[in-house]
Amino acid sequence: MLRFATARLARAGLTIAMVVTFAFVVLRLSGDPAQIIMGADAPPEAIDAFRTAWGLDEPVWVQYLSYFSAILQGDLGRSMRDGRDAIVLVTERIPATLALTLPALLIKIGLGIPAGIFAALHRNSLADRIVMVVAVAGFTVPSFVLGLLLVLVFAVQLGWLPSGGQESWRHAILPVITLGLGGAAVLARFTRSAMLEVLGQPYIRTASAKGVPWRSVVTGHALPNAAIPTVTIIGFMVGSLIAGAVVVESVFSWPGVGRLLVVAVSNRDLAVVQCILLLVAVTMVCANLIVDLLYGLLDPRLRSGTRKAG
Amino acid sequence: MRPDAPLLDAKDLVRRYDMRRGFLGRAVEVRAVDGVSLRIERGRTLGLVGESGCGKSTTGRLVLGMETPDQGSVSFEGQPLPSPGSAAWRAQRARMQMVYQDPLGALDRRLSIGTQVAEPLEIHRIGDRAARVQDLLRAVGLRPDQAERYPHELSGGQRQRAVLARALATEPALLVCDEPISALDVSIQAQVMNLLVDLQERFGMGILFISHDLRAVRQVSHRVAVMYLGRIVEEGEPDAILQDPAHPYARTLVSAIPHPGRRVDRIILQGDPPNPADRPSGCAFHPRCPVATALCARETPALKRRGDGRLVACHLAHRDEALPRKAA
Amino acid sequence: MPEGLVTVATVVPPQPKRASVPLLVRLGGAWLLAMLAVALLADVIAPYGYTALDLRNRLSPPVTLGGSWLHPLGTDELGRDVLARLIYSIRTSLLIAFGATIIGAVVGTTLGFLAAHFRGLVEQAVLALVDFSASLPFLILALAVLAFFGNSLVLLVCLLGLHAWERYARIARGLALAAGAQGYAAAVRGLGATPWRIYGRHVLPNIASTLIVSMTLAFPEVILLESGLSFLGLGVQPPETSLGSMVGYGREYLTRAPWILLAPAVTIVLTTLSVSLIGDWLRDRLDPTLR
Repeated sequence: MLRFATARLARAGLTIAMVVTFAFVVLRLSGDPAQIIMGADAPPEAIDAFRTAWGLDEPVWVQYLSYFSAILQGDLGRSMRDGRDAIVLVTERIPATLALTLPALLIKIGLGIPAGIFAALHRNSLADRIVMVVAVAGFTVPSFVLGLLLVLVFAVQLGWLPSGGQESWRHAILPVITLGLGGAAVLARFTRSAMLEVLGQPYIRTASAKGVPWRSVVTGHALPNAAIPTVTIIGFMVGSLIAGAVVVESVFSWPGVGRLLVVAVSNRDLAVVQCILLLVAVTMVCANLIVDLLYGLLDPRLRSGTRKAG
Repeated sequence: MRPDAPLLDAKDLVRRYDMRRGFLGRAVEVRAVDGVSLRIERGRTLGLVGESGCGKSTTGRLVLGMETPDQGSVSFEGQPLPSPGSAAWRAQRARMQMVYQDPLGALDRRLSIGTQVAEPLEIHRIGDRAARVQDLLRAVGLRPDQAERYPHELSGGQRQRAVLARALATEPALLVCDEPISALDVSIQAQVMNLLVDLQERFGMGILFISHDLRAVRQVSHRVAVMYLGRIVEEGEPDAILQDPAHPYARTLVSAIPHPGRRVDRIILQGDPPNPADRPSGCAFHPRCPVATALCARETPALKRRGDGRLVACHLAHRDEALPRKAA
Repeated sequence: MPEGLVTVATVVPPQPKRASVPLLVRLGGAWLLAMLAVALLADVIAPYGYTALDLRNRLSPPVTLGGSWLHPLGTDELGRDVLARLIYSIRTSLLIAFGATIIGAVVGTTLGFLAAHFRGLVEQAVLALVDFSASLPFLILALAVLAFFGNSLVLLVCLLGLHAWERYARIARGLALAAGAQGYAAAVRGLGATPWRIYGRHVLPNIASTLIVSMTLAFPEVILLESGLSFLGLGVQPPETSLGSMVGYGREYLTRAPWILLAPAVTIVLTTLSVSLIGDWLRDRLDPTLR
């Protein structure tokens, strides 16, 4: 288990290093980083200071190393809009985003997993059909369409809820539902197929053939095994807590990280974009790491570290 | 090409693999082939026998040049083999071919038999393909109209005939057959072996016949080599080995052959099957050998020629050529 | 994703028998054909140019809401015909989605084959890239690239092409390894075939059905990504129009003229739904190992 954990850690570190490298390469390819990071109308002395600070006169590999060490020290540049540290700008938006994504995650898990399990246990029943139709719809209806439809019905037509902004908790209802429904559909579909696959396994038939009550077969054998693939999807959802609401925040004018990202991209505020990119990568990698370690706990075969190659 | 050189001469082949346990795991060195020398003459067949995992298939691939040995050398018609994948290597494939254990896996399921038999001709730019494909199919006992068939429409034996036809398309001088009959029904095995002997008479190629079945090897081979854990432990005439095996391991193999109507004393092997990652000291066979001595655990016996011309790697077989028949 | 799914050799022998096609899949196919026809014939069937203004009929409602037949789906606040814009948007969106899906499949399959052929460092590099792109939400990556490089149609297509490349790479590598280990690819190599022949003539046709199924499953995702980016105003730029940018634009008139937004929104949903239905059906029929 220890070797398994260290191997995963090494891979996580490698992935983050690759994201940093990606940001560096893209930054270099897109022009003079000093100009880009500081903005076109930055005073020349600021640009010179930036160049010296980031060592832009040095050979590329030295620059790469100093870029790396700057990022390790939390120096992610300044926003060209208001000159504040990009990292501060981004982190102060995180609570707003979490206020949407955390309740949405609860909806996804609380709605999607039971629906998927139920559909799998009652395969081909009316309930199963309904779950599947909703699940497919949840995948094919883009979140901005769903969000706007909800606004049209509940804000414009019925006038029950506000259509955008962040003044009260009522403002969060529509965005949370938009986020939650889409994710719940994905999770339901996935849980259902994972369950169905497990239920078709010989050990399930063996267990029920030898007289184990069906309820215990499901809770004791089917659910733990179906949990393994489902955990991956949930991990991905946890990983996207910080930036998983880009589109929905834009639909509802919610001042979270996603909205900041969209604005930064349209303004080419690269320091902010880069900061969000790294933040998302770190969250994602951490979530994946936790999932991998959980996998190790859930699946004893992986614990020894002898994973079947390709 | 030197006409006096043997068709194929392999000297002291060693092939190591690193077996890794997990990511970042400690690499364990496995010697799949550990100092094998063999020689194949034109128009003759060398049988290579051993249990699964003894390195006989790896030896086959080394001899064909599909892999490069870590030590030792292979020369074909007096020339060293080009490196795998190079243009010279690809051109040489016309001269040396392989027949596989699983004919269904070795054939492309999306192409007809005729197309696949023609493929080596296409690759090596040999003309008059249609007529040659017909000849080849007839030579291996398939009907020319079966060229239109797809692999899954043929029986196992017919598929192996098709693989043979494809292998012989360029009239190679050397054919390596890796367990060519073990995936076939018993009733078909004899037919395919007879076919192999007939084809050898007609095309005159040298054959390395790899099998775990000593009887099958005897039917087609002019010489037999017995392999155990990456090494040849005995080599000689097939009939001589079958009648009087010298190495204790060869003896167990011979005793395992069923003789209908005759009771024989089977030698049941003691101990675990060998693990190439954890090779015993001295003679690799000593933990399972019924007649092992202290010397066998200490010193590795060399493959040496005995008085009657047979090659044996066993301390006891050399010290006392008249080894007691039943020592266990 | 479980790695095991690619190790199973998925070679489908030619199937002579014809199973009946479910109604929903047929409807999906019909819708998709209609969309293709619209995209191909856009110049012929569009009643107006997509930038043509009709200032006297601004925000005119569609026929069903009491509008005139002059503009069957209504107009926007500049008096541009919604139907005409919809037709050109379908063309743009489908073009981008097709281009991107094909780029993704070609890039992914090529890298997968390279990994399987060379093994060693090349393979490790490809696998590290696969890990990398699987570890970032694609939308974020796409936004970052657009921020750094600005926007153009070519860049957008190439960028969306990178979506799902790692899936093709995984499949191609896994199946090529399976074919090379003991199977037909090793046999053909032994015949003296060049890598071009091995991969082009043997491996590719054998894994084509699996790849096509994956493409069908990825296609709606690309449509959704494009429309999402365009909705945010970061994808297709005016004066060009796509389904997503129409929705994004129509959002401003949600209360006064919801038809501007509803027509492209319905088109997006129906199109992705159709392709998903066909994709699921193809997967179940051709390649049940892809899950």
